[in-house]
Amino acid sequence: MDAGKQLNIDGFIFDEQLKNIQQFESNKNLSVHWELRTILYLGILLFISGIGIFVYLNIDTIGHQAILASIAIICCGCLYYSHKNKLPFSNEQTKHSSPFFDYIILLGCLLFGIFIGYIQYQYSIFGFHYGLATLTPTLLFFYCAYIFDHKGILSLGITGLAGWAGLSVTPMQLLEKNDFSSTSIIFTALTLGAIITLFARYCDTKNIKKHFSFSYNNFSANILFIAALGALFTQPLKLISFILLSGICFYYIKYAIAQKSFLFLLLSIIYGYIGLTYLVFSLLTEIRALEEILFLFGSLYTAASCAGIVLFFIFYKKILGIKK
Amino acid sequence: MIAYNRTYLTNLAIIKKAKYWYAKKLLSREQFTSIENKYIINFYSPALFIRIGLFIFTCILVSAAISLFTAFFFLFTNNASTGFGIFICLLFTTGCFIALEILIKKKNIYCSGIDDALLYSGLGFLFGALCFIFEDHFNNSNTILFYSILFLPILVCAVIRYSDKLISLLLGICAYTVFFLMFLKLGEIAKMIMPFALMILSVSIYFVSKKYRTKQNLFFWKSCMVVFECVTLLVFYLACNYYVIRESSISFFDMHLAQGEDIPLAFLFYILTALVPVLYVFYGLKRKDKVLLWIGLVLIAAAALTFKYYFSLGHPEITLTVAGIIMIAISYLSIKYLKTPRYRITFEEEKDEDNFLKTNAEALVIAQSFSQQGQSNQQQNTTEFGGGDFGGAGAGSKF
Repeated sequence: MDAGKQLNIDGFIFDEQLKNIQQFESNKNLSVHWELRTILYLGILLFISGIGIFVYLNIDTIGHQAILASIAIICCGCLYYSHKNKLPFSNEQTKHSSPFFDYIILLGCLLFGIFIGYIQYQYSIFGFHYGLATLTPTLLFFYCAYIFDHKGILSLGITGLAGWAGLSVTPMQLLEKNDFSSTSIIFTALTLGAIITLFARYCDTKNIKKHFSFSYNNFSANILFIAALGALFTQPLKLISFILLSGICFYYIKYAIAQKSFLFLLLSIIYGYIGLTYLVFSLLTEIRALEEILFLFGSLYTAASCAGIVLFFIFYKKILGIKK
Repeated sequence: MIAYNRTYLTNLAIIKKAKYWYAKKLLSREQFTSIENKYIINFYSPALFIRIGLFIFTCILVSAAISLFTAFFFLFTNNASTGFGIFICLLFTTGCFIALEILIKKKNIYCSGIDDALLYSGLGFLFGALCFIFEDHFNNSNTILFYSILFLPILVCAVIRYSDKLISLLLGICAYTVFFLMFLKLGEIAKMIMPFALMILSVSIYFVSKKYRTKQNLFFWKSCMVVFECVTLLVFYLACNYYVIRESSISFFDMHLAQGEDIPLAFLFYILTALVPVLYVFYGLKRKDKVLLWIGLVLIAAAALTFKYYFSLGHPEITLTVAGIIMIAISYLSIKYLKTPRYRITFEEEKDEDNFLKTNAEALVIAQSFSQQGQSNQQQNTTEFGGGDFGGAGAGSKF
């Protein structure tokens, strides 16, 4: 099927244009942009891992100080270069002309994180103040994210912040870090999520780096939902947890409609659906009835709710108010 | 033949091309808008994430339906038998395919997740029913061959009717399995010439599919042809890779290699292992064929791993570092070299037509709504890019 000929027959393009198009199609350049970039990244990855293993195997002859010094030098070099070439601060999104600029900042920030981690692991420079060891790179990440307008580093910073919050609640129980069954973790997660959400909202209204709002909300929505679900699954007083979950769902559905963002709508629906299903099934198991009837009800609920969700997907544009 | 609306499929291809030419400034905006208004696409084919969501929930829906049905059945009778299994499977096969046909005809779903899910579950139930039926009839040695032969015509029909890529992949694998197992029946001679037989088969399928890819009446199955090409290219390489041949001769053909002994024609296979990927890449670049190029690149890594496996230096860190340096050097030099296009190959990024349209969406929407007033009886959803802002939300940071 030749689209060009068809268009020509139907009278949408002239003969002259068709000739141009055919010439263009036969002389088209093959773009190997992504292929070469992929090879470059893979090459860098292999090189770094090779060097890493090499250093690891020969740590006795090289020594920790030499490694720390080299990390520090490269890190400082990266940060110095980025500072020298940075664009003036703006509340809007900025784009640096050099394609490598973003990667150099990222490298510098990652190396700083590794440096702090290394020095803490080897020499325990912060002693038992693990919080301080996470907070220092986190602060640098946030600074760099705002100064250089870098979303990737912002995500690093948010993750670091979460780590810091998780650590400062239970400094000695590192193993419990991601276990959402303890009340303190749930409360921390809820507080952190709420603070980040409010901060993102505040920045939105004040027009400060509006494009960062997605990263903030993406993180806080997930952590809030997971914490609420964790509370629902593990804590007594299921009704309060469920009301909390519905509240979060409500907020993010409103946010999704305001932003016309499908992702947040989807997140709210999926997490809300998990919570609702859990509630329905835990209620079903409370009722003492014939097993087959319970199974029937369960299947009926699953089928009906799935049909509902399929319908939701079909009509989501109307919910978000996007015109077709 | 194909289940989907042929006009819409054709229009889809025309609009895609027109978008691309418009992005390349070969068409004027007026032309593009009039083309968009003329070639109507009434398909419901949502963005990727929604497609995945719809797929998952349709699957859950089907399984919920089957469990509901089974539970209902068990309320009255309390015995399970193979006959009951066959009955349920066949019932759900029919149900899935009827639902699929109705939705395609009435609701015009296309690549929407629902049709994929219904197609796969329908085929799954059909295969389940066949397995139930023939469970006791065949001895173990021929089971795989028998079932492959049984599934083959069904898969062919499914590909012809729905032109699905995953089913095409399954068809390719199934066809090769049949060929492989049938060929094995030839006995001793098969073991010797198996690699060459597979290579010859792959080459012939590849060139046939390549030849017919541009044919007018096979236009709707173009994507399936591409899948067949990928499969044949991969099988061709597997059939001449030293590692594959050595290991399969030991495990499949009961070949016993003593210490220091090598498979027959080892030298030839070493050469092919190294040469074939390079040839793929070379011809991919020469013929401007991305499929060939990508498969070649992946296979170069496979070839490197093969050689590494047999001629290891014992220092993985050095190998990694050197490989990294070589890759960095090659890509860096190529980027420098291709700054200006040479041999019609360029480093410049191919601008995605949708990307271009997004940046110019405003002007287009205005033009669109003006021209739509004239044709008020037209259906609303002629354009797709109105809902494009969701894609931007999905692709967050660079990670």
